[in-house]
This record gives sequence, C-alpha cells and structure tokens, in this order.
Amino acid sequence: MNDDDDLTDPLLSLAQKIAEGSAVNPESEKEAAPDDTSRATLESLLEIAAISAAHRDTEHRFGTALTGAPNEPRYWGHLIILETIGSGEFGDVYRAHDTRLQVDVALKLSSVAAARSGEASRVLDEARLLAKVRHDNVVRVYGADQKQGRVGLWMDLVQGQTLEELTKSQGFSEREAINVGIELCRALAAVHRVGVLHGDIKAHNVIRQDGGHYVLVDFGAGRPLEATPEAGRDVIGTPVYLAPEVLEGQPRSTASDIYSLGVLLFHLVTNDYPVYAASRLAFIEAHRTGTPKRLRDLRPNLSDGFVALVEKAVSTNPAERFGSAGALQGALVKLVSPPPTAPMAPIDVAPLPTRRVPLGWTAWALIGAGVGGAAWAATSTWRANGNAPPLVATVAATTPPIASAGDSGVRSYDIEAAFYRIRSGDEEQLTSTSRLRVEDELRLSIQTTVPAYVYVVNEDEKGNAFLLYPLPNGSLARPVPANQPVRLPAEDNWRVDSVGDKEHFLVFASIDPLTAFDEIFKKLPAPERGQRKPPAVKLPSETIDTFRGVGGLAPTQPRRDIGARFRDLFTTPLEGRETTQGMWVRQLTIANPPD
Amino acid sequence: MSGSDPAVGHVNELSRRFGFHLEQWTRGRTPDWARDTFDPSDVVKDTLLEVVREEDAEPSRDEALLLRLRRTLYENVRARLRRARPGRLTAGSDDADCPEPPLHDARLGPELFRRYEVALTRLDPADREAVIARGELGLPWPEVADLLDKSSVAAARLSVSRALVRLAREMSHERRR
Repeated sequence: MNDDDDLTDPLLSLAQKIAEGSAVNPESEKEAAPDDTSRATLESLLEIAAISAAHRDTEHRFGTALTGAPNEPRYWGHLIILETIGSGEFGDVYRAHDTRLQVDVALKLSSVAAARSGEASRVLDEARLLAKVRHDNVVRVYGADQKQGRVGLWMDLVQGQTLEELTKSQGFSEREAINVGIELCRALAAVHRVGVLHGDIKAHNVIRQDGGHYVLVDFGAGRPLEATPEAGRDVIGTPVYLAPEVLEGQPRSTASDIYSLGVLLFHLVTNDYPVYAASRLAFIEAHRTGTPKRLRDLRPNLSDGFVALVEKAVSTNPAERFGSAGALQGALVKLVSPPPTAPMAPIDVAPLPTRRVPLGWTAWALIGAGVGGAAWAATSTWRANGNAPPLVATVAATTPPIASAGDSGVRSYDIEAAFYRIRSGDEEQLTSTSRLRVEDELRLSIQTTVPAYVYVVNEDEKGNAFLLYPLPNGSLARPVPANQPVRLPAEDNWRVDSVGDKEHFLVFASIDPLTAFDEIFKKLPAPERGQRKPPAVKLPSETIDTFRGVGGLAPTQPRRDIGARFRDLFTTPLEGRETTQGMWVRQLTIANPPD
Repeated sequence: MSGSDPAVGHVNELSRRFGFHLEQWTRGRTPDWARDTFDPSDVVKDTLLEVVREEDAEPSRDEALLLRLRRTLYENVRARLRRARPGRLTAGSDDADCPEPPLHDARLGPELFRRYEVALTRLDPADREAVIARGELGLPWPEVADLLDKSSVAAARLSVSRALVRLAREMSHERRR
C-alpha cells in the first residue's frame, strides 16, 4: 500500500485535529472511514489522539498551579509563597520565604503560558545579568530555576517605596534628586563595568529603602553590552525614558542608559518628562522636530548647574551626553560641593584652629606586659568644653567602590568593617542609635579577603581632620593581613576626650598602596601615645580633587574655591559585609545633637 | 562546567526551547507513587546537560536533536523510577507489564503504549520527530517548523499530520501481529 493511499481526507482530517489538539468524537470519525483498511488506521489514530490528549492533560493533572489546599502553604520549589506584591506581562512577583536560607525574598515567577512559549527564558536571562553585578545600590539575586512549569528568580526583598510613588506623593527637591542621581550613577557604573545594560531605568524601577538607601531593580529589559541585536529589535523599555536613537531602531548603549537616568532626574523634580507622545512614531517625530520641555520652564527655581546637567544627560545626540555614569556622577557631586566658608590653606601651612576642636582623639597604649597583659591605661582625657552635648552615632553617607590609583579595578574582595565602643570593659558595635560619652574608647574591626592598606580619618563638620590610622610607629604590618579580624589601632584604642559637633569617620581600604593619598595622610595630625592629640588642620580643596582624579571619578582641575571635604564624596554607610573592587571607602557619621 | 563554557549556553538555549515541554512530558511519565521521589525539572536539566555533552563528544551523531532528547529523557526517567522503587518496573506490579515509564491515564493500558512505542520506532526519523514534537510535547508550531526544517507553519502542520497517519498505520499493523 502506498503511503499516499492512506492520506485520504478522513484520515488526514483526523490527524490534523490531533496535531492541533482539537477535540475528537470517535463515533463520528469512525463513520467517515471509507473501508476496513482505513477504519483500522482510523482506530489507531483515535488511540494516538487519546495518547496525545493524555500528554496535554499532564499539565492539569500534575499541576503547575501554586495554589495548595486551603490553609496550607503554597510552594514553588523550596520557596513558600506568602503574598502577591506585583504582576506583569510574564507573570507575578511574590513575597516568599526561602526555606533554605531562612529569609524572605522577592520571587519573580513566570506564568505557565510564558514558560510554554519560551518567553519566560527572559526571567533566567535577567537572573544571569543580575548575578554579574554586586553593588549596594543594585538588588541582589539569590537564585533562579525552572520548576513546576514556571521559570523564576528570587532576590532581595527590597522594602520601601518606588521613586514613582515618592514623586507622585511628595516630589523631590533639587538636592534630593542629586542624591538619588549620585547613588544611581554608582549603581549604573557597577552595572556597566560588568558589561551589562540595564535598559529600563525609570522611577518605577528604583526603590528607596526604609533606611533611605536607593536600590535599582528589575533587569528584565537588560542585556549584555556586547550583544548585537538585530536592527530594530532592541526597542525595549519604557517610551518616555527611551533615548531617541533607540526609538529609531539603533541598539541600546551606555549612552541610552545615561539618557534614561537624565529623564529620571527630570521626572523627579517635575513629575513630568522631557518628551511625551502617544505612540512610538509620535515619540520619534517629537524628538526629531519637537522641542523637549525645558526644565527651567517647569521648575524656575532650579540651579543653573542642575538644569544644564540634566539637559546634557538627555541630549538628543548621544555624543553630547555624559560619557559614562561616572562622569555624570562627578558632575552631580560637584553640584553639592559646599562653597567655601573661609579661604583654605594648604595642609602644610594650615593655621591651627583657634576654636574648640570638636572631637579629640587619643591613642590608648597597652601597658599590659607587666600587669598581666590586659590592662589599658588612659594617657589623656577628652578635651572638651563643659557643656558639650552627648553624641549620637548615626550611620550616614559614603561612596561606592572606586578603583585605586594602582589598581585596574577588576579584582574583587570581600571586606567587613565595624566600629566598636568600649565602655567599662564592655564592647558594643556602634550603630545609628549608639551614644558616645567622654572617656569612651573606640576601635575598628576590619577583615578582608586580601591583604589591604587601610586608613582611618576623622573629620569634623568644619573640615578639621585627623589621621587615626596608621599611627606613627604603629607595629601592625601594612598591608593588614587577610582573612582574619584585625583591630585598629593594633595595640591601642582611640579615646574620646572631647565632645563637639557632628563628626565623620572615614575608612579607606585598598588592595594597592594609595601612594598619592599617603602623602596627604602623612600631613594629617595623628594622636600619639601618652600625648594629647595635636591640633587638627583643614583639608585643602586639592585633596578632594586628588580623590576625584583617582579611581575614575570625574577628573577636575584643582580649584581653590571648592569647599568639599572627604566626606562630601561619600554617601554609603559603613555597615555589613560586602564585595568590592579597588578602593573601598565608607563613612560613619556621629551627630552631636544638643540636649 | 563554568560560565564561560559554550556548553552552558547550549544547555540554556535548549532549556529555553524545550524545557517547559520536556518537564511536562516527564510529569506525565511519573507515576503517582514516584511523584515525591524526584523532581521532574531536575531530570530535564540532567538530560539537557547529558545531550549537550554527548554532542560535544560525538558531534557527527546522526540522530535528530529531539529524538536524542526524548530518548535520553526516557532513559533517565526509567532510571529514576528504578531507583525510586527497585523492582517496581520489573515484576509484581501493574507497572511491571509496561516496559516504558507509563503515561498515567486510567483509560490507556500498557498494551496500547507498547504498540505505540514499537510503531514509533518503525517510522523514519523525520516522522518520529514530527510525532514527538507535536503529538507528545505540544511544541509551538514555529518551533516544530524549525525542527522539521519546514519553510512554513502550514508545511509543518501537513508533515505532522502525515506522520500521525503513518504512525497509526504502523500501530494497526502491530495490532494484527
């Protein structure tokens, strides 16, 4: 029998129904068979139809649904679904509990339909991109998997409000927008550094955590920088935030991420967008022929510098935008550098302060060799005025990792640092709720996974600075050894012997010696054992410009009129363990509120 | 395997194209008594990796991709079932009569599956792939067209329909033996 003899209409018609997954009525199909041979084949086709239907039915019988029995937890893999916190085109986002890590997480889970079509693989792509990025301002991914017919990724549960919610509810001042911009530039620089484009920077995708930290989330539109999408296939994102060249079909780039960030800054201070249209073509037309809304028209009181910065970021021509996230960050930092309150002198000729130095530091020497090795003796006292208010430690500001002068910026290492207060023999880690008193002693505990050069600087609100570490003639080898807790100072504590205004403690760590900074640090006075601490000096503007020039921040020429100090560059709190590259800088700010 | 291993990209690509459907197929071949003993998604992942490694080791294999996937998955499911309950598939149980991991549907007996599997082996590879792609896995038509090297979805539909008729004919012959 020839194959084609069997391919008569009734058989082929039934086979087509099976192939399409359509319902089949066995009785009516049997009646259509013209002869016994065809009838036998047709009966087998009906058996195939039953097998095929059973295959399709497994989805329903074995369940891809997350719903469990009433009052029983719903599971996806080892995650317990707690509640739905968002929905999207490809699925839902849940608050879930990771039963292995014992933490609550955000679970982004595809729908079964998206998994069936293969579209859900984008969730895995997103997870892979996120896994490349390690940064305080970028949401951290824990894992990704394909289970129960769905694709999912689980990550940090970032609790707070989106910038979109905040923009609508309260709006942003220029200063607040700048702070947001600085943090997002850090995030974006970290993202770009590992060869990833975010692709959808917008107010909805940035969350201000309850502690005031900004976190970039949702890499669903991201892709590797080196990917070469087909022409016109890279128009992904939110139209009001999309750069004009992307709307016209050119591939996305770091410049298009910069554009989106510029739009975000525009949006924060105006609750509006530079360009708005009803369709993609209308957007293109508006960019080509229309005039973008001017920031100045919407918020006349904005500073010239901020307006110029935002308009540069959202330039139609990508070449006219900031060349990198770091460049944009540098420009933002410049905007918030405070004007000088008095002429600044170079460090080596700085006049000694004539007013009270708010916070005095004294090294406590270990004299225990002859007294059992455990006794600590005061060698000086807090030099304070009598009505000094108590101190309240608050964690504030600092910076992301930036490459050090001698480092390529590509080596990663883990670092953990914390200040401890010693009072009456008890140690307590300094937190935002800690309070300091005269006679308190402090030390820093630091641990790194590579040998690191560490510096600790104290600076007051007026710019007076001390070098707390390294101490002159200190016995601890430099760099400090890796993979063990190291206390600084090695054999002493710092002792609070005066109380004053707000104080900032900056901790620097670097894989390589910071040759350029060494010279600066050497000029700072340091407390010595058995002596009252020397008077502090102000940091000159050149110091700050040196910092900017090292590690990829926006280079600037030294300017005498820059009043910025160390602390103005850094806004990341000193807390917890993290992974970093090159130079790491964190700050602890202690406020001295009046009683 | 490391992240830079090309095999990782290959596995990811196969997972994107077939992962969901292979997992459903595996669920269908997992008896109720074995459902808590292994995770179908893990079997699929192991299978994808195994197939990619086989291909790396012997790139000139003359077996269509989907057939290799199905065969390897089939063997892996059987192995898991054996480990889950030794002897269950060899004697003394309902499943012992069925040499293949059963597709659990009360209306379908093991004899039907035996004839189906035997008939499937008698088809030429292209027809076999067509039946598996659409009849078993329910892959989307564009994917089926791509697998069968057809220029259009319509052409793929016709190929699958013809393959199903040929399969039915083989099953009919097997019934008469």
